[in-house]
Amino acid sequence: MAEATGQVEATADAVAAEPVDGAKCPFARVNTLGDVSRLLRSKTAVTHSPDLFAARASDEVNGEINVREFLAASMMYTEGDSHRLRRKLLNPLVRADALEGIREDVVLPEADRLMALWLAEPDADGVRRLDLIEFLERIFIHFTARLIGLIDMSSDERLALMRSFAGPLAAGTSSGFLADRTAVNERALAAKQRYTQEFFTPSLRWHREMRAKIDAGEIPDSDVPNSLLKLVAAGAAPEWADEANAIVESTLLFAASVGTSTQSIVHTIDFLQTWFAEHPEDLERRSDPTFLLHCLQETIRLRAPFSPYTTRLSLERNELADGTTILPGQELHMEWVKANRDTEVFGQDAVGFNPNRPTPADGTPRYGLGFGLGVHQCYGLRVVVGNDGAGGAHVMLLKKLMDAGVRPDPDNPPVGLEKDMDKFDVEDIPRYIKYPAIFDGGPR
Amino acid sequence: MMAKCPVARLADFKEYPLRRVVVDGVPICLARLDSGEVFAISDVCSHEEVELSDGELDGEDVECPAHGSRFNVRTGAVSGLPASEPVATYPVSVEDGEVFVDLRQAK
Repeated sequence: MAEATGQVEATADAVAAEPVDGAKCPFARVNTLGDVSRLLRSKTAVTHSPDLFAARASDEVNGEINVREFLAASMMYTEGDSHRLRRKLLNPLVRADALEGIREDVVLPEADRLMALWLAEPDADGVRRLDLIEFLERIFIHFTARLIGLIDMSSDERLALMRSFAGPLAAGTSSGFLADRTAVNERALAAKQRYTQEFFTPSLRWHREMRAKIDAGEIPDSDVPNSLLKLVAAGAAPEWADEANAIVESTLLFAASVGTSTQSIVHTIDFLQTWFAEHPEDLERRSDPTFLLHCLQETIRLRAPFSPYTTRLSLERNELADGTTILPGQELHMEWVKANRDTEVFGQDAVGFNPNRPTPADGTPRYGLGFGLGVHQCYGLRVVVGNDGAGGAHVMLLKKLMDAGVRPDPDNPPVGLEKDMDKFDVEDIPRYIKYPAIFDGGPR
Repeated sequence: MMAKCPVARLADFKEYPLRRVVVDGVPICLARLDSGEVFAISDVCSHEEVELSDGELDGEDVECPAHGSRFNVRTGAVSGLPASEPVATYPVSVEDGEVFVDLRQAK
């Protein structure tokens, strides 16, 4: 990489003037729709390096922990057959019928139950309140538990315990963007250990017992719902034979599904507060699923994946549209949030939230690059927008919250994770850990 | 471009309902449904250029192994995101257990 440094043709925006993370050559910022799309879609130009995402060069101790304990063993950071097989195995878990089952049987009933319970009585000041982060994480934990195949998830105590891992595990997977990484990793490692002990290990044991019964012909395969752990117990992918790898696969699914789902809904409610103040004529559409889907897609376009960029390692010499040369071995910062503000595609107001924005004429989805592109495009895309594009559980949860009159609590501002703001050049993207909300419509 | 061209035998689908063939340089995914009918669609997912024949047949849909895009094998139409563009279909005929595809009549 050092040899390459002198060859970089730096331009104002595309290549940083200073090395980052102690790297010997500067990283390149890739932040136009065309460049990001082309590089991510190339089968040979880039790879998804866990070392880069963990910012290992700037903090070897914490970076190594992140890579070893939370990233490298996941399919997200592998390429070729290893990635293809695991993705193919996991795809059926998010088919339309599977998602509908989870949504109708688990997610929506749990939302109704929690809202009825937590909003039943107003506080002393007569206002009904709940913390949206806790509420949504509790709901999405049901989804994640089904996806992973966790057992014994019916009691409130168990759900609360599982929920307590969500924040620390999500932080452990993305500590490269956070402040005080040592403390973040200590909490993440403790959460992972307890999650493994209390949930993963007993659940895998159960799946192995079921597998033995299936193989012996004692029960039909259909008796055990499809899940990651069912696949692990069946020996479906060689990587999962090592239990440590299967744990990482599950914690990354956990962090991604609970964390990003929760943030996407909360950020949408946050955006809508301002939108309705400026566009009161849209208030009557607050429960319209199509309007809410467009809101969610705008949030994803502007904020996902709730980090300022994701990293890639350049494998080939390449050139960006502005003439900047990309060299093999160079770190790339894929700035989705900036690329998604392309005014030629999304209009002159692309920098702002506008659920009434027309669908881009060139076929770009309303959410832009919010789910990434190429081999590692987000596994959760179909979960969020639905297999038919009409929206999934996220839109229905938004509708429930809107029906109940949700709005941010003006007396209790939200709390976000403390971030490494040096990494947030495009804009501050909060990662909320508390979002107090009040409900003017009462429980529904 | 070749006229009606033999590409497989029905017996070839015994193990797996999807099969990749290349005719005149055109990659084709053959799909044999539970009903016994055979269909031919492009073997290149319109979303990310992945081989559809490496995926799964679910009812009348082929599911891409990479991102789960789905295509109806009768029409080539998208039946599941993230793909948004259909894939080409090719007429199939079966004679004496042999499967023929006609590239000239691609839709």
